[in-house]
Amino acid sequence: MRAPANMAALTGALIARGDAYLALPAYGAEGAEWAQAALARLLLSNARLKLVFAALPFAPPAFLALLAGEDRPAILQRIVRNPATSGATLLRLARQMDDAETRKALAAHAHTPAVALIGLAMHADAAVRAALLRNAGTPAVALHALLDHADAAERAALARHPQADADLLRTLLAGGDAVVRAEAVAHPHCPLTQVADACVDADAAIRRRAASNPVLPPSLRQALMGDPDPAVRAEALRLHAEGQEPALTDDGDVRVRRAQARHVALPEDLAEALSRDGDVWVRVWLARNPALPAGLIQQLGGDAEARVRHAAGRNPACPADVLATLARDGDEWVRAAVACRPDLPVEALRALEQEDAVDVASAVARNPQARDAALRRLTRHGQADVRRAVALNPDAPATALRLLLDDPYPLNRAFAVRHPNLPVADAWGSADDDAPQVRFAVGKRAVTHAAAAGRAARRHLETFPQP
Amino acid sequence: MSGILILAEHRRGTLRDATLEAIGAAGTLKAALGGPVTVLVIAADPAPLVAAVSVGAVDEVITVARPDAATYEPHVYEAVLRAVIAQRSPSLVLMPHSVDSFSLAPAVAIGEGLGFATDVFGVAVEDGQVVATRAGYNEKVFVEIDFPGRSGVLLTLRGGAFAPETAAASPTVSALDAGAGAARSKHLDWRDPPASGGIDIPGSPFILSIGRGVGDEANVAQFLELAEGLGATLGCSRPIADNGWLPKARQVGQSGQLAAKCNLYIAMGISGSVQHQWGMKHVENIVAINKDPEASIFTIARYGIVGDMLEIAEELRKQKGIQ
Repeated sequence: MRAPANMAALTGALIARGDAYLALPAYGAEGAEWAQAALARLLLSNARLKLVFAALPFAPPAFLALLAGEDRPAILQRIVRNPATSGATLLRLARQMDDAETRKALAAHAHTPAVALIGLAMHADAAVRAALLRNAGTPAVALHALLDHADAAERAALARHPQADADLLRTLLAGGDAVVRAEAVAHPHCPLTQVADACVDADAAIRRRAASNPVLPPSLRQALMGDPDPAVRAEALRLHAEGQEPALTDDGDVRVRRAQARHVALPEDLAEALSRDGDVWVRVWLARNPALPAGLIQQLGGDAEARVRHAAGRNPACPADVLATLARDGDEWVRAAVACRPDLPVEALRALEQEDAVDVASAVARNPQARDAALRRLTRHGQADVRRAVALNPDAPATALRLLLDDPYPLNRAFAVRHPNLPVADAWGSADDDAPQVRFAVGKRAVTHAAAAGRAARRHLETFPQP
Repeated sequence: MSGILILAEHRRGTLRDATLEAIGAAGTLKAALGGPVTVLVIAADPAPLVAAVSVGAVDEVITVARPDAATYEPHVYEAVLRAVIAQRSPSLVLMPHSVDSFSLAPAVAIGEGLGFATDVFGVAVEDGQVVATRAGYNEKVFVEIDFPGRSGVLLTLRGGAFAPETAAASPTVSALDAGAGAARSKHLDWRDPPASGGIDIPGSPFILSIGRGVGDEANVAQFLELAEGLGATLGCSRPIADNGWLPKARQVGQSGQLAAKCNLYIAMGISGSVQHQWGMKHVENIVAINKDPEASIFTIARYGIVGDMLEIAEELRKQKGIQ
């Protein structure tokens, strides 16, 4: 079956087929404007599908705007909650719906324009206030409006809101509640004098939250690394910025050593000491540390604990010879850790290509260096997860992807259709698939391809104008 | 018609836990239904299994020794079970919902004219009649089923839905010569499931599960650490296993594992697709943590937290002194 050559032909074919799932991605697409009315008739022809599409997070925003013209409250409620709905559509719905559920959904939606959020904050009931406090886009002016009647839990939520400004945090700190203070001093907008006070607070929980402030000056952070409370020391170390050399020393507390082990500015002698630590998580974190010298990664790659060897195998700085050794490890999950790495030496990968174990086979299937023949064999593996992994391989060849189009598991067929290495003509061949998710994927693939071709043709005309 | 008959399920000489769960369910129904609780053991040599089923409310164990029952064979089991049902006329027959019962239960129910429901996770007796609860519409609704006009009912029970009975009892043991029926299939070989590296999602009472919200492979290790510190088994949703961030043995859901014995399931950063819910929706205590208040996981959770899983995990670690 040949795929339509351009957007006009594709849109015509989609309308002629009469399949709403296949046609949905075309609504609002570049180059399909001429057929909007016909597409709208097709997409709105079934009452049940309108409900389904209203809740689909991957429905085109233009189609949701169209659907917002319906008068069924159940459809409109779904559109208001749909994360793909645009700000303009939300504003329109805000004007025509004033029930409690709609206000709550608008207050929580990431695309609701600031002006609408401010309006909601002025006369908010408890549910709307909670939704506004959860919405990371709620502007500071709306947060100030919420402060007036805020209870203890809401004050804490205000103190951790990303849009909270210094004035709001100062007011909240003046309230004195320990939970609110702990949240406020961890906020990057908190005035530094107040963060500095928190660093010497008698309450260790306040000092720990101050240590978690991402803009804490290096001098204060260094001071907190000497705090008597290990949780404070560990927190101070966790956010110590790269490039700022912390004075790291042996620490008796395992929580601090675990935090040290993942720090990229680890001195070599301390790394050496941590590599022999009795706590397995210290060694796991250390083995994953990309700043570790090759010799230590090699040592940890031979650790008695499989978890540590797995971590070494996932370390981006793991040397090739260590990867090759780990590819022969007795533990399946350790072999899987290296089987998906494109930098695994070829001989080691060839050996792993023969394995049938699920995690190893899945990892090989995702490896861009795996041979085509191996990938084709894995598309016939008994486990659906392994077969799907072939479609997750960015370099999977079309020959393997074509085999997945007949996979018994619909999700695997949908993944194959989405893969850019599968020619659009092959994807279009699945336009009659039984599963709606596969047909939607076919429509999306065809529309994306036709839109890109249209843009390329226009660029060509602009570069080489016709006489 | 009275009493409860349970068909024992065993593999390679070991009783399966699901049988003890069926006995546990029978114990809760015995008083309301009346009559004895009987366990039927069919095997080439049933004697070693008798002690294992002599628990809880069991009043009698019937053993049937047949050389052609060295391994499970549906036609042999069907013939023996139907013979016992015809002889004892139980008002309720219970068996695990398993690959064995798939090939046996419908034929027995039709053959003996019994009411029938599969994958049942709740049973009650109302006005002397059995009412079974199972899921419908791909786990979207719970359905209560009664069986009007049926004097006997056969139910297959979902694994992990009923508390297993383990308290020792002293039932009477009788051997039955049920020679009818002949094997029509042949057992060739045992194939072990893929190695799980000691990960036991189906058997874990406490699962902490992570989804897309974890964001990056580098964040996964801290959840392994957190799960270990909390005494939980770490599970995951499909995208995490698909990325190779955790082994397939940890995947919960339709293409993964069923959290069969879980009492507490903490879903962190999992939106709650229908496929994932298949593996955990039945858990009594579900705690959902997700940034999106509209995530469908909240519709099945007993407790919900709208928040960042990484921040909440960080705080949990601090509170528990893990790091």
